[in-house]
Amino acid sequence: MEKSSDNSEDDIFAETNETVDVEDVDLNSSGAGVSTPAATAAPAPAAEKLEPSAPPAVASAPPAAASAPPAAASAPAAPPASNSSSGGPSKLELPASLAFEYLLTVRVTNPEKIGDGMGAYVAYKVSFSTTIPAFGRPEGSVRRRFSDFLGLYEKLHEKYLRDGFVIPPKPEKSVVGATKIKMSKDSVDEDHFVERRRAQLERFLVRCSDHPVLRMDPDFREFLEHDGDLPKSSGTRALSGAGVMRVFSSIGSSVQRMTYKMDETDQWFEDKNQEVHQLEEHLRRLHSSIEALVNHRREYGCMAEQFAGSANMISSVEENTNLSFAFTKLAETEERVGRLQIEQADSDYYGLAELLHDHLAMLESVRASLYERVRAYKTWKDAEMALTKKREEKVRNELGGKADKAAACEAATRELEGQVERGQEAFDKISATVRSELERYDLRRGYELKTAIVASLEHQLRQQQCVLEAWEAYLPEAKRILAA
Amino acid sequence: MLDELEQHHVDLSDSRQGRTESVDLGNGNDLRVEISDALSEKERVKFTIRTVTSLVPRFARPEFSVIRTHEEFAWLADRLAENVEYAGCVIPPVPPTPDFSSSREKLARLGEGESSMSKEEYDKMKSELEAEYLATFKKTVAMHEVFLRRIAEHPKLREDDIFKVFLEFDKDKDEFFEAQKRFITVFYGHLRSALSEADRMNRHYKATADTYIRVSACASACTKFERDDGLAEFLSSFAEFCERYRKLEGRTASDSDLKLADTLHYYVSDCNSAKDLLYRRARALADFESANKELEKARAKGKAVQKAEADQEAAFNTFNTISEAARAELISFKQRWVAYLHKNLTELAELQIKHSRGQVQLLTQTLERLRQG
Repeated sequence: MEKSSDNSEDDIFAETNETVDVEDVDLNSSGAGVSTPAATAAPAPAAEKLEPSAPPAVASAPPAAASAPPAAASAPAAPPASNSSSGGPSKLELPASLAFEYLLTVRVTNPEKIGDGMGAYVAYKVSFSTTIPAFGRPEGSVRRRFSDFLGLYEKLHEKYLRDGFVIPPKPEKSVVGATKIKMSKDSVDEDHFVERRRAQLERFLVRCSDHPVLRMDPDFREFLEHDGDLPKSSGTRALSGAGVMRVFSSIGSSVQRMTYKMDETDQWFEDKNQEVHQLEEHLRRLHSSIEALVNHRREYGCMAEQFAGSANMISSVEENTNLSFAFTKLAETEERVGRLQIEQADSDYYGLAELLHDHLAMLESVRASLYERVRAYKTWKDAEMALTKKREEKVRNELGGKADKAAACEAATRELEGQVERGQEAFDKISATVRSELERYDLRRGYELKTAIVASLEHQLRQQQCVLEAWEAYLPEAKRILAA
Repeated sequence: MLDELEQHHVDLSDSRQGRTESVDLGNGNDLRVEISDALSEKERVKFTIRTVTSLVPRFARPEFSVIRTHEEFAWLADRLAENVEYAGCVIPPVPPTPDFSSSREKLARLGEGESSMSKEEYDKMKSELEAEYLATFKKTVAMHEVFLRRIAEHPKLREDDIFKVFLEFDKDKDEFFEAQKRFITVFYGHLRSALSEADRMNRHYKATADTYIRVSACASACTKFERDDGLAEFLSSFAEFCERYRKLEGRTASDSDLKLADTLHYYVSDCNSAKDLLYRRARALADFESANKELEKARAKGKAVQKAEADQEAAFNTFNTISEAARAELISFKQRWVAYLHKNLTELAELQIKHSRGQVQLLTQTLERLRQG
C-alpha cells in the first residue's frame, strides 16, 4: 500500500496502531492459558460437552451462518484456535452443569406451505438425533405445524409450571403474520416472517431438549417421534374463545401477583427478585440498541447498492474509457460491500436481536416460576392460618362445652395439620426447584449470550475480510485511471 | 471492387496548382470561392468549399472552409430562384446531381464476369472503368465550383444572406459545443444522483458506527449487576470492543465521505461551472448575431455605420475569444477531472483497505480474548 503523504492519515494510522498495541498488552496479562476451566470439568462420557443443542438455538441464523454445527460429536476439547482467521467457528465451552450424559439434538427446517386459501398453513420438518435410551430410535424426523408447537407448549406449561420449572417461552403467534401467509402476498415479507418463526420454533425445541426434566417428558418425546399428525390441540388458535379466556385469566393472575406480598425470609430470593427486574430493564435496552444497529447497517447496505446503480450510470455516459471502467468497478465494489453489510445486519438480527427478544420472553417465564413459589407459600400460610383458626375454634367449643363440635374440629385440625405440613414441604420443594432452575437459567443465558456475541463477531470478521478483498481488488482499477 | 470506389477521395491537386497558396486579392478578387476537396461516400459526395475574402465585416473571417453536400447546393439554387428580388437576374443553374450509377453498374457487371475473363482483360477493364469514374467525378466537382463562382462574381447575388450562410455556417464547430452541452447536462444529472446517494449511504454508515456507543453502554451496564464474573468480564470486553470498533467504523465512514462524496460534490460544482461557460458562449454568439443585424440595418440606412461596424467587430472578437478559450477549457476540464478522480478514488480505496485491515485485526483479537474468557 502506498504511503500517503497526508499527515492526518498517518496520525489515524498511528492511533489505530496504538489501540492495537494496548490490546496486545491486555491479552498477555489476562493469562496465556488457552484451555478453559470447563475443559477439566467436562463430564466423562464421549466429548458431550460440545454442542448438545445450544449452538443451533443461537446460530439458527439462516444465510451465511457458517456456525451451523454438525450433529457429529467429534468436536475436540475446544481450545479456541489462536489463528482465528480460519472460517470455522470454535465453540465456547458449555458450562459443565448444563451438559448432559445423553445427547439430544433438535432442528427445525424446510418450511413448506401446504394448501391454498384460508386453510393454508406452513409445515416444518422437525428432526432429532439422540442417544437417550427412552427414545425409540436414534434419529428421525416428522412434520409439524405451528399449532402443534403451541399444543406442546400448553401441555408442558400445564404440567410443569406448577412445580416451579421455567418453561421456555412459547413461540409468538402474531396474528398479522398468520394472516399474511394465508393471504400469500408479498413474498419477501413472507420469507422474513417464515424464517423468524422457524428460528423461534427451533429455539423453543432446543431449549426444551436442553432442560433436564422437559427433555424426558413423554409429550415432548411424542412430538419428536410420532410419525403422522398429532391430535389437534384445542384452544391453540389465536382467535378461539378459549384463547381469549386465557388472556383474561393471565391478566387476572398478574394483578394477583402484584397484590400479594410475601414475607420473604430467604435472602437469595430477595436478591433474585430485584435482579430479575434489573435484568429485564438492561436486556430491553441492549435489545433496542442492537435493533437500532441492525437497522442502520441494513439501511447503509441498501444505500450502497443504490449508489452502485448511480455509479454505473455515470460509467455509461463517461467518455474517457479508463474513467468509465473505474466507475463500473467502483459500482461493483460498493454493491458488494452493500450486500455484505445487509447480510451482516440480517445475521445480527436473527442471531442477536431475536435472541435477546427471546430472553426477554424467558424472563416472563422466570417471573411465572417465582410467582408459583409465592403461590405455594400463600397456600401454605393460608393453611397455617386456617389451622390456627380451627384450633381456636376447637378450644372455644371445648370451653363452651360443645363436645361433638369440638370433636369435629379435632378431625378438621388433624386434616389441616396435614395440609400445613404438606404445604410447607411443597413450598420447600418448589423453592429448591425454582432456585436450581434460576441458577440453571442464568448459566444458560450467559452461555447463549456469549455464544451469540462470538458468532456475531465471527460473522463480522468474515464479512469484513470480504470487504477488505473487495477494496483491494478495486485499488488497481482506480490506479489505472491514468494509465495510457 | 465496388468498395474501393465507395469512399473515393479524389486527388484534385493536378488541376489545382498553386491554389493552396495565399491568394493575392486584387480589387475584383474580394471574394474567391473554390472547391478545395471532395470526398465520395457511399451515397453522396461531400465538397469542401474554401472561401478567401477581404469583406471581413460581412464575413466573420478572411479565410474559412465548410463541407457541403449536393443537396445543399440545390437548396441554395432554389432559394435564389425563389427570391423575387432576383427576378431580373440570370441565376446560375443548379449543377447536375452527381451520378455515378452507370459507372457503378459497369463495375458490378465487371465483377460478375470476373471469372469468365483472363486476368489481363480484367485488369484492363478495371482501370478503364476507374478512369471513367474519376473523370465523372472531376466533372461534377467543376460544375459545382462554377456554380458558386458565378454567384460570387454576380454583384447582386453575392450579397445574398443565404449565400453567406451557405459559405460560412459551420455546424461542426457548433456541434462540438452542442455535444458538450448535451454530455454535461446528462452527466451532471447522474452525478447529482450519485452524490445524494453517496451522502445517504455515508450518513447511515456513520449512524451505524455511532450506535455502537449505545451497545457498548448497555453491555457495560449489564456487567454491574451480573453475578457471574466470567460473564461480567465477557460483557466488559465486548463493551470495550464496541467502543474501539466504533472508532474504526466511524473513520471509515468519514473517509468515504471525504474521498467519495466530497469529490462528487466538487465534480458537480465544477460541472455547473462548465455549463455556465457554455451558456456564456451561447450568449456571446447571440450578441454577435444581433450586432451583425444592426450593422446591416445601419448600412441600409446609411447612418452610424462606423459605430455599428465597431460594435460588430467587438462582438465578434468577444465571441471568438470565448469560443476558442471554451474549447480549450472544456478539454482541460476533462483532463483535470481524470487526474483528480484518479487521486481521490485511489486514496479512497487505500483508506478503506487500511480501515478494513484494522477492523479485521480488532475482530480477530477480540474473538481470541472472548473465547479465552
